[in-house]
Amino acid sequence: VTARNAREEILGEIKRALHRGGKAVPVREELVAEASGQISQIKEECERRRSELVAQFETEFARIGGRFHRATNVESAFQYIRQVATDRGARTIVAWEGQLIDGIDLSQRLGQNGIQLLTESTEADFINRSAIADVGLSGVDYALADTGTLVLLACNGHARSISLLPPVHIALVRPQQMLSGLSDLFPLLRYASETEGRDLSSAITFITGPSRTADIELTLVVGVHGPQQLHMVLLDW
Amino acid sequence: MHVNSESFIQDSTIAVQNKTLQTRLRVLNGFTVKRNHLFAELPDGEALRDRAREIKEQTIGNLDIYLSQLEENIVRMGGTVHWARDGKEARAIVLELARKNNVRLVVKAKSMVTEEIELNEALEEAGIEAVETDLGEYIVQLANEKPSHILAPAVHKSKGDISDLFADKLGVANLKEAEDMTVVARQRLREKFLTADMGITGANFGVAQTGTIVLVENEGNIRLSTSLPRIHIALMGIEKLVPSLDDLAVFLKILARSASGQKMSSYVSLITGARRTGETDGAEEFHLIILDNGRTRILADEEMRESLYCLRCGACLNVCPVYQKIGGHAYGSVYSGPIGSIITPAFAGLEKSKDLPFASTLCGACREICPVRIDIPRILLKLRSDWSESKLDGGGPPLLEKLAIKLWAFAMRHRVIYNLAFRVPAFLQGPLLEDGKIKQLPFALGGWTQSRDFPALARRSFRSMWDQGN
Repeated sequence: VTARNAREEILGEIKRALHRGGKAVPVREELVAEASGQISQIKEECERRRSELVAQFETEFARIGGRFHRATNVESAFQYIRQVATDRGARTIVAWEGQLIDGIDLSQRLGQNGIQLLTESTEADFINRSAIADVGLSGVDYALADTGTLVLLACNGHARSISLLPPVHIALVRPQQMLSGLSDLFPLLRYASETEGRDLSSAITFITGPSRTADIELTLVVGVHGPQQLHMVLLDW
Repeated sequence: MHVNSESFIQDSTIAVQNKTLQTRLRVLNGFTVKRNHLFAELPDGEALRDRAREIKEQTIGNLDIYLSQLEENIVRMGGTVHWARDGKEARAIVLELARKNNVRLVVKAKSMVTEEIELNEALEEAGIEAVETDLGEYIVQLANEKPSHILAPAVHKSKGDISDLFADKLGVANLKEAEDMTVVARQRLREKFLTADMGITGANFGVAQTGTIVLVENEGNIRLSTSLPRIHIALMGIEKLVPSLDDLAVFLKILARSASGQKMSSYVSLITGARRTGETDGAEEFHLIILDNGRTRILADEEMRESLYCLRCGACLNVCPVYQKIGGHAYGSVYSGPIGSIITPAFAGLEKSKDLPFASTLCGACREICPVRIDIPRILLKLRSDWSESKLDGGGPPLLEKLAIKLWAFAMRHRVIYNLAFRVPAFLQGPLLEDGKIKQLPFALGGWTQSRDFPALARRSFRSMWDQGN
């Protein structure tokens, strides 16, 4: 219901204010070709420095209140997830769909421990179930070493609620997903959208530590609207 | 923009005597300490600030192009873009969307722009419940007050105040610790998130090249407001743009460091259009309202333009000796502190906020800490000068000041009178002296000594010593 001329009037006012009378000043060009060279360089660099980046991530992640577990085999990853869940007396876990979770055969093994694993395709009322679930289990699309940040791209099967509604969030990360920081991430995202024709995800979420507030006397309280606990399991095998 | 800055002198005089308030505000220093530490350990911190300023200059210098680009990309990604010349138009757009969709409950994320246009009041009047969901904003809304700090809206309240408030408004008595109060707020608000029809947020950045709205927070309430309700409306001032994601990286590196002393805030959400086919959550409708509300006027004034670079981080409030004494409410505007003292007059008119540019010691701490290096002291001086030159009612210097300047000019041109003008008071000042200073000047000059001492006049002037060669 934009008032009929609001758009034209605002843009006109801006042009007048900038003394350009509608004549465009060239806008900076971002070249895809340039990005492509940049991309392989970023990938090589991250691979070369991988163990260093993982170590840096671990330090930063602990500093902001995350709990890090390095699993060198499937069993270790499963046991950690089971432990976190049983510590909370969990009955229900909501999870990402896909190879990552299937690879650990989580659904069946958690079932044997009396814990139900729900995904978007197994549960019709997924959001309301997520709201009462005890644990959210996700993968990540990238991890940023210099800030201890997890990057999650929303898509079909990877609902935003999983890392948001339950009080505990466990993220599974593969070492190959480790980047040095934002300066690596954005070229990769841009490259994917420009050259592979993929649209940017509807929601890209950076998660750096558990939900927190300092709104009462600047006292830090962990766990406001989002998860109170954030775990990261490095699938290092 | 509605302001109550006309009573600034009275309100700040009361606030400056409020020791409890000053104790509350002292905690803000914690932000500054952490901020300084983080910038010191960032190898290219200063260069990043320069780069950020450069990007702002470039973007705002091509604003029409980038806004059109943002619009085009949002539409391409299935969103809707609305334009509002002022608060009234923006409110009308929100109300119309709410009416069309039978919205009864709105969850709101902290947004200075919605405060600026007083959206909550408009929603309430229309019979729509609008709940603030940031903990600080929730507290302030329960207390029926206004936020007193950009980043920490309830910083003026003590734990005890909030405990009493929760007992009174929520019926939960005897909450002792911040943790307990937070748990109660979480429970109350969780219900709201799950049943709300509409989420309303601001926007920290709009990325023109991708049609993305960026939201930065710590609590998760913004993620909930954008993920659960069926409709998401983001309101954004025209100035909040960056050209590309690479530019965004520069700002994300300095914003949380400047605002809350964090390397990165807990959550950053990049929202691009509405939920896509097959997705389970995220808003089905995404609307962006692009708001002018006086910003093009600021843009047209080259001396004021850089005030549009502001990221609303709040760092200048934390270091300001005036804000530290009087808090945010005395400014009578949603934008307080040094940045508020320049943008409130720009938005609301100098005639309604003439005292704000004078509420500064010009110490320069705000310019020093500003992540995009806005020269706030320069703009404060410009506004003071505008007021002195102004023909507005009450504008221009007071009569007595004009008379004094005329006398001064006359004396400067007549040596004998000039000498007398100092020699006579130098002899007569005796009874006024206290510890070698004048604590109270007589007559109309008394105002000068209300808050500081006047140095005693020397017995002999420099000129007379010079003449006598000793």
